[in-house]
Amino acid sequence: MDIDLTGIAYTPSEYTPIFPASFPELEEPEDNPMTTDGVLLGRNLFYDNILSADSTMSCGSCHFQEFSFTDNLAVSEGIDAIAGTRSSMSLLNIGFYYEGLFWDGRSTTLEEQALLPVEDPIELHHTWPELIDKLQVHPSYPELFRKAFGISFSSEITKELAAKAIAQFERSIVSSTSSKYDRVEDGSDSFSDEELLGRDLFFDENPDVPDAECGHCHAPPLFTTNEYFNNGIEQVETLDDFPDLGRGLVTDRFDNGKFRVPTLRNIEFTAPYMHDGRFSTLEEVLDHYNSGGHPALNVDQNIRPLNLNQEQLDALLAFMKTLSDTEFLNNQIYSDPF
Amino acid sequence: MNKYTFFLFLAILSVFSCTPDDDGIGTGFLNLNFKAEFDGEPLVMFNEYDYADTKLLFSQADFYITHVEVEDVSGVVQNLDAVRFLDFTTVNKNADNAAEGITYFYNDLIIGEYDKIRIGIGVDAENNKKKPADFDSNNPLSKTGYYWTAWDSYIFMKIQGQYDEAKDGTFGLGYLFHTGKDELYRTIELPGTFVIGEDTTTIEVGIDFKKLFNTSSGLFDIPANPVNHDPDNLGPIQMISDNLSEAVYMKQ
Repeated sequence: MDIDLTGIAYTPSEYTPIFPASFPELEEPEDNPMTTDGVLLGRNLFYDNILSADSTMSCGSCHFQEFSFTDNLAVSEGIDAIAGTRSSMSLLNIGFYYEGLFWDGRSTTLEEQALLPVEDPIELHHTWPELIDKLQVHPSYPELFRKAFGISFSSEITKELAAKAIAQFERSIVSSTSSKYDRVEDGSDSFSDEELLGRDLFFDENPDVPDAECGHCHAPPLFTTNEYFNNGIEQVETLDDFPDLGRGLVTDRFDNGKFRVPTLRNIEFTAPYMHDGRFSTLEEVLDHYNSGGHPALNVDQNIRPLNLNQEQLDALLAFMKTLSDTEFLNNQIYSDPF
Repeated sequence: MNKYTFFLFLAILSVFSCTPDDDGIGTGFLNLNFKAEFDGEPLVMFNEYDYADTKLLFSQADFYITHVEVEDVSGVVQNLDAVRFLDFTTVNKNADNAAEGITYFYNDLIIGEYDKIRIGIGVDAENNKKKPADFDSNNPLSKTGYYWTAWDSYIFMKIQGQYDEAKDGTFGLGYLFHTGKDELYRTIELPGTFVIGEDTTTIEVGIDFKKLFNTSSGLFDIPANPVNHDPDNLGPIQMISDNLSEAVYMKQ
């Protein structure tokens, strides 16, 4: 049955997310500008269990808003209860990540990335043709697609349009201006002495305190450089011994064991940590970096023993917590609409 | 078409002709081919190189160049590039790629004889007042990994790798040198005659990374100071910046 949608108005209105002034421009692809109806459709699809073969899971099943769009698991499980190998990444500010998506950067755009989990056998384990069939006869999706993309008939609903909508919603997931760090940056708040010490350590800002080197990889304003590094968490004899090759799966063996730098914004809500969730707490993360990690041919040379004392480690933790944005975590515009 | 229109047509055609006239205006083509080297050999990431009485290897070697210019024998300067990022870290992962180097093509140049290439190594002062968020993602200056908040400056150059301090093949000492801040920006002038014409001229520009470690008493003692990324505590990175004038050369 092909539903005629031309009786429904198509009046796209631009959607402009609001984020801190220090952020770069949010770049949108020419063929997928953000609109109010596009973001709405994307949000519905993101949280709709229709995406999975057995209608039990959606993108939102591994990306929970209250966990800054992670799932607080070391590795995620799909509809068949098969565990993956990597931790769910935060989607906060994902629209600004132009250097590749997933821990290994294998997808270059949000539109491309959104296509993959639906058919991944250890994730949603569905097929796009079956999903599109469902969307085309759904009681509400044809209208939503009409309003988002101006299609004339329900038969014009495609996986590409579905992925575009999900990408628009994901692009809309941006930091508010309410974290303490951002308030300090705009002059409306100030750090405590402990947080200031943590900041100095983080950015190697003070010659009288040691360098914690964090800012080399977790640079503001996004608190990630979106580069790929081996941060010394794996003990290996050679580059070929990494249990997860990471970036090396996409490029070459010299990038084995490298993973994308995650954001530290809202980091206190996104445990566990690292690509496989091996560290349960931020304290464990800091202990790892303080120890200098495990050497390897391609480990980043900022990874070395830091010799920080407990007061300094506590200060770093205090500073990282200033990156917490509870307004974002509770903002209804990102919430599950079902 | 009458004869007046015909002659007017010919006049217009001559103005927009692409062939050079007596004023030297014309379309010349140039390739600048940048090659990273170590002691005259192509620099390949993770290859071992002799260094003093031991060896070292590189895992990272990349830097910004800005205000690339060519100057002809009459002193006319043409700007070729505002900013580029020479990413030998990614390119030089095998011998073939390292030998090939990184090439930039320029057109619409004045045809004639030239005797200088000028290259800024690092980010010039004007751009260094800006931040990565000021640029779109296609611009080399958008790299947040190459901006250091503590300096209020871009990181001009990153050199990292491992050094075989024990001289037993274990490469147990990591080294890291990041240059930055206006004081360490260097403009390198490369003398050498070349002609730009309608056929593309290729000029090779070599960067010998071994020469960056030259001191008055021999090669720099890396184990004594293996990490330097603080322009307020100048040491190796001052040496590296000052040595650029010797390390960067026009290959003819």
